[in-house]
Amino acid sequence: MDLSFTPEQEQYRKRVREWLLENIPEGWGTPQFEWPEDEQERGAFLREWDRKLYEGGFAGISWPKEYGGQGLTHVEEIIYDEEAGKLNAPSGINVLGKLLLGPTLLLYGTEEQKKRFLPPLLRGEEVWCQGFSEPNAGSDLAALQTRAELNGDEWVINGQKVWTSYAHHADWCFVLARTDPDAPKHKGISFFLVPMDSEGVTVRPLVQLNKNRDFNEVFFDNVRIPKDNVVGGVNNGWKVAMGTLGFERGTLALGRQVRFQNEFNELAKLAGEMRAADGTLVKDNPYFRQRLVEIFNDIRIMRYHGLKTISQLLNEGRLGPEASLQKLFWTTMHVNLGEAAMEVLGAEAPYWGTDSVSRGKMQDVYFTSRGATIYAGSTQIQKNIISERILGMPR
Amino acid sequence: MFFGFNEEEKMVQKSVKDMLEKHCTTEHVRQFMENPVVSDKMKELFAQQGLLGILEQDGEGMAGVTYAILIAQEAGRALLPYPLLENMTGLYALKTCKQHNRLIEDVEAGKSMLTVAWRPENALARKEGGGYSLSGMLYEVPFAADADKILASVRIAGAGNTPQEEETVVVLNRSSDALTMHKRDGFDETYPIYDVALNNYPLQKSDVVQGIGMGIGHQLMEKVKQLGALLLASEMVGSSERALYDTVAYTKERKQFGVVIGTFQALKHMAADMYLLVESAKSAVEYAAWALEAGEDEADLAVSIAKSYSSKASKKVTADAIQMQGGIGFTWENDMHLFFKRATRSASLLGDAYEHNEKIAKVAIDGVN
Ligand SMILES: Cc1cc2nc3c(=O)[nH]c(=O)nc-3n(C[C@H](O)[C@H](O)[C@H](O)COP(=O)(O)OP(=O)(O)OC[C@H]3O[C@@H](n4cnc5c(N)ncnc54)[C@H](O)[C@@H]3O)c2cc1C
Repeated sequence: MDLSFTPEQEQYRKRVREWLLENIPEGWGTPQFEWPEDEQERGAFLREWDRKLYEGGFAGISWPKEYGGQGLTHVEEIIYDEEAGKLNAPSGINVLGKLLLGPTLLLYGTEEQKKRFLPPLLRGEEVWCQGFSEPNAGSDLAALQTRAELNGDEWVINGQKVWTSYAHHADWCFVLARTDPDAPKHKGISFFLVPMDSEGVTVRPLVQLNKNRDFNEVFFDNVRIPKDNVVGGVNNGWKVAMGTLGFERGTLALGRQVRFQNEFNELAKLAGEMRAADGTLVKDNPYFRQRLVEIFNDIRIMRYHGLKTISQLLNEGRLGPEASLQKLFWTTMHVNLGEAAMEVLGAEAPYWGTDSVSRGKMQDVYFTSRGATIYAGSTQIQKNIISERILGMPR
Repeated sequence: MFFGFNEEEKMVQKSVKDMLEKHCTTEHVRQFMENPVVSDKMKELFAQQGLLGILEQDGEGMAGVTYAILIAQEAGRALLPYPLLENMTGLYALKTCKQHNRLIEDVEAGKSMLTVAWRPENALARKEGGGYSLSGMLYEVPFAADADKILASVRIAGAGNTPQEEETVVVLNRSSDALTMHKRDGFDETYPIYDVALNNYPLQKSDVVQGIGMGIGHQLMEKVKQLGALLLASEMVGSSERALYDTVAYTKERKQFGVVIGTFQALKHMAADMYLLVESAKSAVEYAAWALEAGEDEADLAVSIAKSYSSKASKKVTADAIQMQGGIGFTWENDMHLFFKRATRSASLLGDAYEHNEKIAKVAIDGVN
């Protein structure tokens, strides 16, 4: 067992930290920071951050150099994520491109596709969204009904996607569509790359329960795309998509862990200010001490799980169904953190934004955490996967 | 960056596992429960493995912790009725001192068996002649009736300015006339626990480990307890994992409503939750072992997290295992209650979740305020 970083890696960490300190936008993450009201302006702000990251050499850290990456390993990737987490740096707007599409193309894309799509993705010029879920195909993703038919040199796509995060900012969408209606449902699906400015694409924003406008409905009405915009072969989309979901469940854990630790620390500070019903400071109240420490323990253990996953990636080159464990663990833990925060705030819990004692931060955790147990395979789906694929319980 | 075990470590774990699968089946464990005497066979087997003395100080860090947790995990899996923790951590303590080489050899060779008094609350030694006379109580002494030597931290009057400073680690002869034992009626019958009364026990300087008073004994005993807590956490991982896998196997055989009960999603989701608890406890134990070996600043914190988490997890997992097996799970004949009881005993001793959480709170909550 060796969980330490080499001197070179520590050197890299220092470089990341210095760069971030110099480049994180003034005031970012503080209550004084003025986040633009307008969605387009917000998008422009985040794109600018993605561009800066690329110029600083911190985009596609573990991707090969020939596609615009840095040619380093997953270790440097997590070092960046950890440092960015510590300083609460912006996550950029191309999360789905970097987290999902990039690795998918690296695994299943053709040489032309990698050359065409990866560099502009990393430069922050082309933002991606993920068109998987549909009104009638959520957990049962393979039931999707969006169709693609080959017409000469073009695919013609018809159907509807929903809950599509960042579609209103995206230039491209990776879309699952049915290409063989007669095949068994997992066998007739293909993975497409669709420009969002194509004729026939309509994006309708949806408001989330936390009032954010991060996801949308997307309609495809006779959208025509080139024949070559298929990844991993026609009717092979299910396999490609499952690879994508593996990335969604497994990586990024360490950066996220650091952000959760920051949230916990803020909560612990609040515990030093708020009073429990018996008049004691929350931080001195035995019930709250136990309650909070159990969450702290989970956050630490999330780090251990993350290190295990990274080790598996580095030494075996792939992620197994254990990624489900990780996802189940951190989403459950984050919900718990949000709930504990509401308890700590007591009578001050029901106010958010600038009217909140925590400037809305704790309410943000409380509400946001409720999405993560649904997306990327809900809690129940993860439990199905663990019991059936890991423990071998019968279907 | 490597979070896992090398081939040698895996081999050691496997050889202990194989050995226990053969010589420590639940039938053996139940025989022990009827007649709680550690078998010579068991002593011999551990001596042959040559692993009891594996824990050692190594500069700022430690050696052997990774092996030790793997062995403890197997002990937990087998419900081992033998003072493994006590001999491993006891040997660790003896090895910090130069004057116990003979005893170390005997224990490693299986000729002598150690135990540790985990709670020696009011044993006090007063000067008498060239040595001391020791009287008082030692509580929580596992397998005392079978042990040859008891490692305990007692107070030597005048050896420091506070009771804590007076603490001194000593090895006592279990067969001395000055010592009487009382077996507590513990529900975990795989691990008999005794109270030991000392009445004018003649303590010699040569019984002392490391040094007299001055806080030395306190520090050493804290370390022994910490190692014990980590190994106990690892035992809990082993027992809960076995309870989970045995139960999952049962759900693939037992039929109700015309299908095997393993097809019921309510049970699948319970099993998935149990798996999450077991794997998380395992990661916590492994990380803490690494932190101790590497001499990391956060080692104390990591051990407390491991003990706290495993304590809660193993009680939950072993209790749910009973639920998943239905009526048969509630019988004496079924093995699940053995796991459940061992988990409950292990969770309560060497610092329960509450106690370790309070230690963690000093860092996690007080540390940011
Ligand atoms: C914040 C957020 C962002 C999202 N972003 C995207 C995106 O960018 N792109 C995209 O394609 N999708 C996105 N999604 C959609 C997400 O992937 C789906 O919501 C998810 O797959 C669940 O599908 P559903 O909403 O149809 O719920 P359903 O599948 O209808 O599930 C309803 C309930 O039934 C349970 N359930 C379903 N099947 C089973 C089963 N077999 N066993 C036990 N319980 C079951 C579920 O756990 C859930 O509790 C996002 C969702 C959220 C909340």
